Amino acid sequence: MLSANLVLLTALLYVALLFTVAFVGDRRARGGRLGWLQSPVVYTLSISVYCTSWTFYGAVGSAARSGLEFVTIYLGPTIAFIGWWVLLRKIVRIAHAQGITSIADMVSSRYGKSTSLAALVTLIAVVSITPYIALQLKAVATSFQVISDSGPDTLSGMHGPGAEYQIGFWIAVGMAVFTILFGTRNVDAKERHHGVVAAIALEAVVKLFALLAVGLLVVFGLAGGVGPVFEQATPQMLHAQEVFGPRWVAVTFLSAGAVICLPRQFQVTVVENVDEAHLRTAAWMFPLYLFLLSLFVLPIAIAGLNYLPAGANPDMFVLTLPIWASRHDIALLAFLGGFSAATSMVIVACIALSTMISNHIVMPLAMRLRWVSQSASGEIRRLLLVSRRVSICVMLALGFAYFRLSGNSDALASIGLIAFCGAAQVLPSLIGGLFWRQATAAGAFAGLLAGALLWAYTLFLPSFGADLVMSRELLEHGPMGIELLRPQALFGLQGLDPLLHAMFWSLSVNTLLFVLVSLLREPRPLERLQSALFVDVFRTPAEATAGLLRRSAATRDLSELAQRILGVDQAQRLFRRAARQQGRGREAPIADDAFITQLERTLAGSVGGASAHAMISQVVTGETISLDALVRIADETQRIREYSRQLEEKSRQLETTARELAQANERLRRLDVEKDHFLSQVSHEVRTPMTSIRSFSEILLDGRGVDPARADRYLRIIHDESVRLTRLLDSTLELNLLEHGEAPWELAPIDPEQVLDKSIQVCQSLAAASGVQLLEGPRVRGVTVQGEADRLSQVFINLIANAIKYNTSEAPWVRVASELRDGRYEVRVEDNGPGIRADERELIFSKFRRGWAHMQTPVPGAGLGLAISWQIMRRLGGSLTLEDASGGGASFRVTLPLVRAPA
Amino acid sequence: MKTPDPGPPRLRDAAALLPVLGTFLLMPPVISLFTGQRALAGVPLIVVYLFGVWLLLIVAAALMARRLARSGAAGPDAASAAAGPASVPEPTPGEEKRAQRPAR
Repeated sequence: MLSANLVLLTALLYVALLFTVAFVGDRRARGGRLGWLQSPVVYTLSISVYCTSWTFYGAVGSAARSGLEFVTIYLGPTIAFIGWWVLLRKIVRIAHAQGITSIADMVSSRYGKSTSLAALVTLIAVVSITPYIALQLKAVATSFQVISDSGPDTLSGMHGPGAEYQIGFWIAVGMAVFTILFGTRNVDAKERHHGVVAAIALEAVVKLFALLAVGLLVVFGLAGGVGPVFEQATPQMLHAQEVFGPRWVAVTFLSAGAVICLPRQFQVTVVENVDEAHLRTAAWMFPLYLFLLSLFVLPIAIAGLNYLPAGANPDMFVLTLPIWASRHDIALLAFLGGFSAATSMVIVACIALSTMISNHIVMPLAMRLRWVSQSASGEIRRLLLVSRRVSICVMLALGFAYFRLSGNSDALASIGLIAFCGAAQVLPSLIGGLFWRQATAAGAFAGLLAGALLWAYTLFLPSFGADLVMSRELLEHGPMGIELLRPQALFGLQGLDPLLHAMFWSLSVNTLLFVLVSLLREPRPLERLQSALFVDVFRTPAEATAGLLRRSAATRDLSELAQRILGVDQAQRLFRRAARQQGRGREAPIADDAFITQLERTLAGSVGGASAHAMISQVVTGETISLDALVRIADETQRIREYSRQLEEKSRQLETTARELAQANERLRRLDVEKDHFLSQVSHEVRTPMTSIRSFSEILLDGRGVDPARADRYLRIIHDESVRLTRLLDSTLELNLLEHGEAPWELAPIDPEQVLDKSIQVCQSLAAASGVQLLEGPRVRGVTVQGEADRLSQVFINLIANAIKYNTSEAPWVRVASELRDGRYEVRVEDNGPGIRADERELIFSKFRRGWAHMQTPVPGAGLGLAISWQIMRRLGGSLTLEDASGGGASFRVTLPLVRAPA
Repeated sequence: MKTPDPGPPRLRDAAALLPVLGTFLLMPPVISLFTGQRALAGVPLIVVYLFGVWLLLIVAAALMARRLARSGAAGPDAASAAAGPASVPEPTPGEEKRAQRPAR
C-alpha cells in the first residue's frame, strides 16, 4: 500500500512540475523562442484534453459493463478529424479570418454578431460543463483515496466517506491558481496561452504513457500475451450482439459533435490554432492518440473482471489492478495519468468558459449598464481580466459545490455524455451556418433555446436523481400529473434509453425550429454579410470583402476605444502599423473602411465579435452595407455570370487591341512606302542637277572647241545647279531638324500682320515677273500672337510664292486675307489656279509632294516647301490646312493662337 | 476571382469522402457482419475488425494529409499559369509594347 503522504507528495511534485513547465513555456514564448511550442505535435497533444478522467478511468469501466461501447467515444472524434477537410478546416479558416474567440463567438459572429445568441450559447456551456468539472474533482478525489487507502477493501475501488472533499477542495484551489496565472495573462483570447499549452501537452503524454504502462503490465506482466487475455473473456463480455444498435450510432454522433462544439475542444482546436497546416497533422495524429489510448482498455477491463474481487468498481480498474499486482510504481503513474486527465480538462474548460462569460455576458452588461467609464484607457481590459479571473473561481467553486452536493450518489457518473448532448445543441446552428446562407439569427436562437430547454428537462435535470432537483412525483408522473410531459418519456415516447430519448427530442426540435424560423424571414443585411463571409470563406478573397461594410469615424474616437480595450501600448502599436501600411509615416492613420474592419477584428479578439461590433458602432457614423457588393460575392450564379462577363470584356479588349494593331500596321506600311518614295525622290532630285553638272564639266574638261563665251555659260549653269543642289540639301536638313528637333523655339509675342506685310512685299517682284495679280483681302489689325517672325515669314512667302508659281490661269490672281475666328488668328492665301486634286490633298504636306505635280510644270522646286511650312506651323503651336477655295483654285489657311485680341 | 483550393480535385474529393467511408464501415449494419464467434490469433474478430478499420482510416488520413500538403504548395502557381486565354495569338516581340497599352 502507498502511504497517503507519499501520494500527496508525488502529486504536489507533479503539480510543481506543471507550474514549472507552464512558466518556462510562457517565458520562452515571451522571448520569441517558440520552437517546439508551436509544433503540430504539441497542437495535437493539446487537443487530447478531450480525454478527461472520465475517459481515462471510465472507458475501462464502460468496457467492463457494456463491452465495446466505450469505443464510440473515440470513434466520433476519429471520424470528425479524418474529415477535417470538410468541417474543421473551414471552421479554423473562418476563426482566423474573423478573430473568433470561442464557440459562442463563432455562432454569434455567423448570425450578424448577435449578442443574445452569444449569451445563450455561453449559458448552455456553463450549465452543462460545470457538473463536468465536478466530475473531474470527484475522480481525482476518489482515485486519491483508492490509491492511498490502507483499508482492507482497497481493491474494491470504492470511495470511503469523508476526507475526499478536502482533496477535492484543494485541487479546485490549485487549478484556479494555475488557470488564473497562466490562462488570463493576455486579454486577447486569440493570443495563444503557451504556458498552458506546454503543460497540457506534458499531461497528454503522461496520460498516454500511464495507460500504456498499465496495459502492458496487464497484457504481458499478468496475462502473458494478447491471446491469453482474450481467452479469459467471456463471449458475452463484448456485448457484440446488442452493442451495435441505435446507441452506438447516437453516441458516435454525439462525440463527433462534442469534439468540435465542447468549449474546451473549440478552444484548443480552433482558437489556439496558430497555423492551419497543424490541423493537417492533427487530422491523423489525434485519432492515432485516441487509438493508442483505447488499445488496452479491453484487456484491462477483462483482467479486472477476472483478477479483482467480485463487486470491485470497474471505474477504478486502472488503479486497482497495479495495486493488486503489487506494482505500486505503475499504480502511482496511473494515478498521475488520471490526475493529468482531470486537471488538463479543468484548466482548458475554465479558460474557455471564463472567456465566454467575460466576453458575452459581462461585457454586454457592462456596456448596457455603463459600468466602464468612457475615457479611462485600459479600463475595459482590466474589467475583462478581472471578470475572467472571477469567473474561473466561481466555476471551480460551483464545480466543487456540485461535487459536495451530489455526495456519494452516482449522479455525476453519466455527466460526460450529458454534457456532450448539451454541447451538441450548438451543432445545428454551427453546421447550418457554415453551409446554409439563408440561416438567420432568429432561427438559431429559437433552435438553441428550445433544444437547450428540452435537453435540460429530459436529461440534465433528471440526471441528478429523484428529489434532488426534480421531485420523484414529477419524474414518474409528469408535472401536475400530466403523463404526456414526463421528462423521460416525453409525449409518450417510451422504452428508449434516456440519452437517446433526450437527444432525439432536443436535437430534432432544435433543428426543426432552426430551419423553420430561418425560412420565415429574410436575413438582415449584417447577417447576410456574415453568412457570405462564413459560407464562402474559401471562395471570397479578402480584398473582395473590404468594401462591403461602409462606415466612417474620427481616428481620435477609434484610438480612444482601442486604448480602452487594448491598453495604450498595444493600441499605439496597432495605429502606427496601420499608418505605415497606408504610407502615412508618423501621422495618424486614416479611418477608412479597411482600417475600421481591421480594428474591429482586433478588438473582437479581446471582447468577442458581438461586443466589438457594438463598440465600434458607437463611434462610427453611417454604417451601410453595400447590398450590390454583397449579392455579388454571395450569389453563386451571380458569381459565375460576373466571371463570364469579365471574360467577355477581356475578349472585347483583345479584339480592340487586335484591330488597333492592324491599323498601326497599316500606318507603318504606308510610312514605309512613303519613305521609299522619299528616297527615290531625293535621288531623283539630286540626280538631275548632278547630271547637268557632270556633263557640262566634262565638256569643259575636254577643252577643245569651246569658245570663252560658251564656257562662261556652261560654268554659270554648273554654278546654278550646284546652288540648287545645296538648296535642296539645306531644305532636307531643315526639314529633318524641324521634324526631329529637340530644342524648343523661343517664342515671343509678335505682330503677325507686320510679318505678312513684309512677306507680301518680298513676293511683289515675283508676282510682277510672272504676271500674277497680288490682291489684298480684308485684314485684321493690332493682333499679337506667340511666334517667331522669321519662321512665320518663311511660311507666308512659301505659300504666296507657290500660289504665284503654279498659277496657270488665264488671268491669274492670288489673294491674301486675315481674320479672327474662334479666338484664333487666321491667314488665308487663295488663288484661281488649277487647285489640288482630291486624291492629293491628304499627302500635300508630305515631303517631295508638289500638289501640282500632275501638271508637269517646268517650274523648279524640291517639293519640300509645304512640308517645311507644315512642320513650322506645328512647332509654333498653330496649323496649316488646305481648304476648298471659292474661286476653284487652292486655298491655304494658317492659324495661330492669339495672345491679345485687338483693342 | 477565386482562391483555388490546394490539391487536385480527385484528392480533395477523396479527403472529403474519407469520413463517409469510415462511418459506413464502423456503423451498423456493416459492422454487425463481424460479430460472429470467430477469433484471429485468440482475439475476437469484431475487435480485430474494429481496431483494424480504425488504424486503416488513420493511415489513409495521414497519407492524404501528406499528399495535400505537397500539392498545396504547387496549387496556386499551376492555377495562375493556366489563366491566360488560349485563342489569341501571341504578339511578336516588336508589337508587344503596343499591344499592352490599350489593354489597360
